[in-house]
Amino acid sequence: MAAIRLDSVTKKYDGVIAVDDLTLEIQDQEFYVLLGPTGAGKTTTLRCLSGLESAHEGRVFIDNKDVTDWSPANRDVAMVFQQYSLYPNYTVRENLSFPLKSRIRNITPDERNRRVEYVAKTLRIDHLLDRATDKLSGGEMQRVSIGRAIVREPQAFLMDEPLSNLDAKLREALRLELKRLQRELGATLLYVTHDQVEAMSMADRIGVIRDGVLIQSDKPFEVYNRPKNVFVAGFVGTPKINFLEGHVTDGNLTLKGTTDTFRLKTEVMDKIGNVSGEVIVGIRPEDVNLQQQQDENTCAAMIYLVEHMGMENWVSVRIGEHQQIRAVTDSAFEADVDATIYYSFEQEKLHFFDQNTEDSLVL
Amino acid sequence: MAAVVSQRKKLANRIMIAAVLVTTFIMLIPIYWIATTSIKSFSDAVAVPPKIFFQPEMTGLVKVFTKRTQLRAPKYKITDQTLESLEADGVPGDVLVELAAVGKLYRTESQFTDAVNEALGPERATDYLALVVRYATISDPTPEKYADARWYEKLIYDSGEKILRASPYPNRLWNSVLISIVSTVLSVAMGTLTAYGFSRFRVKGEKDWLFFILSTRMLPPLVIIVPLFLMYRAVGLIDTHLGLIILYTAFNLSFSVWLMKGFIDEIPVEYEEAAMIDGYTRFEAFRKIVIPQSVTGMAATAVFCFITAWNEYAFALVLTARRAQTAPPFIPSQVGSGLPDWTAIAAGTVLFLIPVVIFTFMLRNHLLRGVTFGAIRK
Repeated sequence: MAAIRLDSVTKKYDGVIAVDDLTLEIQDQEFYVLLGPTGAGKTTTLRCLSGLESAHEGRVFIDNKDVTDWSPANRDVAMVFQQYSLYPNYTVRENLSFPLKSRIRNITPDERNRRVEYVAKTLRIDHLLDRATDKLSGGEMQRVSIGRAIVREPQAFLMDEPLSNLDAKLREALRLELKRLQRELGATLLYVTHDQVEAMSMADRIGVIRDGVLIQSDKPFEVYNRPKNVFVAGFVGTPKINFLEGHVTDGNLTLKGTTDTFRLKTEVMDKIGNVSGEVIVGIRPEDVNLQQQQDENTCAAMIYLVEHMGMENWVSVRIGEHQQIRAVTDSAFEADVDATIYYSFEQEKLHFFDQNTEDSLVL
Repeated sequence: MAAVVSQRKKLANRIMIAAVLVTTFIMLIPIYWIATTSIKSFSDAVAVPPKIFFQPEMTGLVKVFTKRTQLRAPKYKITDQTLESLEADGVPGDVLVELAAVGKLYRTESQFTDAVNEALGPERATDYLALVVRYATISDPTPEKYADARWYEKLIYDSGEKILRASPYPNRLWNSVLISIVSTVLSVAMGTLTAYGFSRFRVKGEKDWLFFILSTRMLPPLVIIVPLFLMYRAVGLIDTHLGLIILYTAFNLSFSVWLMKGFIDEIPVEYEEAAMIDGYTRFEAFRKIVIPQSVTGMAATAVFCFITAWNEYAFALVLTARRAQTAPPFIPSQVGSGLPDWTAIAAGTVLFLIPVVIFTFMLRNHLLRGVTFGAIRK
């Protein structure tokens, strides 16, 4: 396995920039997830890396070798696609051995069989080996495509939303399996997805990308707790983070459209460089506290909706005229719609963003 | 699903089947007509009203394979042979001597009888005339020749002709097979490659190119036949196999490109990309992934190209004469003097139909899947 580096890669389609000056480094044996919405340039990045597309500018390095002008075959990376990934009219065994039959690899038939059997066993598809690929379920299909990637023992794995065509339960199971496999193989893996749950659950590091620009590249914990801007904060986390417009003066935070004012702690103010003026405040639902009694650092709100999720409740409350906040409470929480409730924030968990640039104000 | 077919649906289904049967029947009438005509005798073939029941015979088939000429009318001459035969039948010697003087060859029976009457005098003439005419007649063919003739020669004699030599029809059929197959292979191969290019690569002005390719089919072929003839003559392609192969390939190529593009567009590009990443070149991916996937399309395209080339008449008529002539212009050239010989033409046509039927039959599974492509894809 090998490290991967993209150096200022730019790719345009018909003059539209798909990937914009993107620099990315993936360590050897790292599980790196490229996370972003549809059309963000994730797949294009992957294709530039695999050699299916050539970048207009910038260099691509695999194992510290400049492979920018190499063909996909010579780059020796394996790719798992979202769909249509298995060769039709071939059995599972033929699919698995197809990469090994390439002229650029010189593998004896015995070695080929050994590897196919081994991979089939690892992925628990050995009972399917002689089946035609169109007789497989979706999960089995993706397992075979992952197998086809593994069997080659490549420099790196590239996966383009391999789980997104599967149903939720299967996705969860395969997520675990993929993570375990990556650890066992010590594989360098670049995984592209729009599903933040997949990213958070599997990644060693997450790169959040939008409009071809890599916004933040960090460990999942950092991405979640120290988002670089409003987009990252909003993209990661379920239920979604609350964004509130507010005003900071002399260490007091006033939410827009209300008279609700919170006195911010000094360490919080220090963290954001003692800003004053209009800000966007982000607070994750689990960091919103709801209580029946009023005290000095709470404000009144009205219950809007209670969603029972089983292990917890998601409670939406209305503050002022237009703003809404969602809070996560334990499942015992009960309240009538339109009842008055008092809310406060875990101040250390507040995120502050510049109103114009939407960048985080945290220093 | 089949279990809950309503009564009305069942009825509709039956009506559809009946309609299909009727249509099939109507479609098959010309084939039936040609096939039966090919095994009718000439008089049955031109009978009005048409004959449904008839004595089948092979004359038409034999005629296609032979060059023939009309039998000559009988001639009359008293030869030594005639005299010997007459003597054996007991004709007196003086009569024979006088008859021997009638040595000339006569082209009609009346002239001959006049001569015999004159030589023998009216009385003896009436006694011996029938015998003399019998032995003096030189028929075409002679009875011995007829007796020795093979069955097909007899068939032709019976229809008032004799065989001069074998006709070049087998050679013309072979030309048709050769030219059609080679041009079909070329147009499908080139069409598949071109379609692949248009389908997988960003080609500048792709739509215009495709339209241009199609536009080669937009005017009737006859419009260009004269300039084409002049060009072919200038480069020496008149009456060559190569000439027709080039022409049919060019003619079918636009069709082939369009049809194959439809098929290749349907093959997900991910397959090839996966193969390229798995260590294959684009051409290997094309060969190992795209070709097996587009066999159906290629078969359907091949059938259409083959039929077009096989049936082409106008260019073949103008641009070939002998060496490279195909069957279509040859068959009607059998219309000789006098009445068109429909049995020969029908027999030639039936033989001409067989190869294309076999070809289509071999590819029928692909063809059915090919023409319904897109409709039954998951």
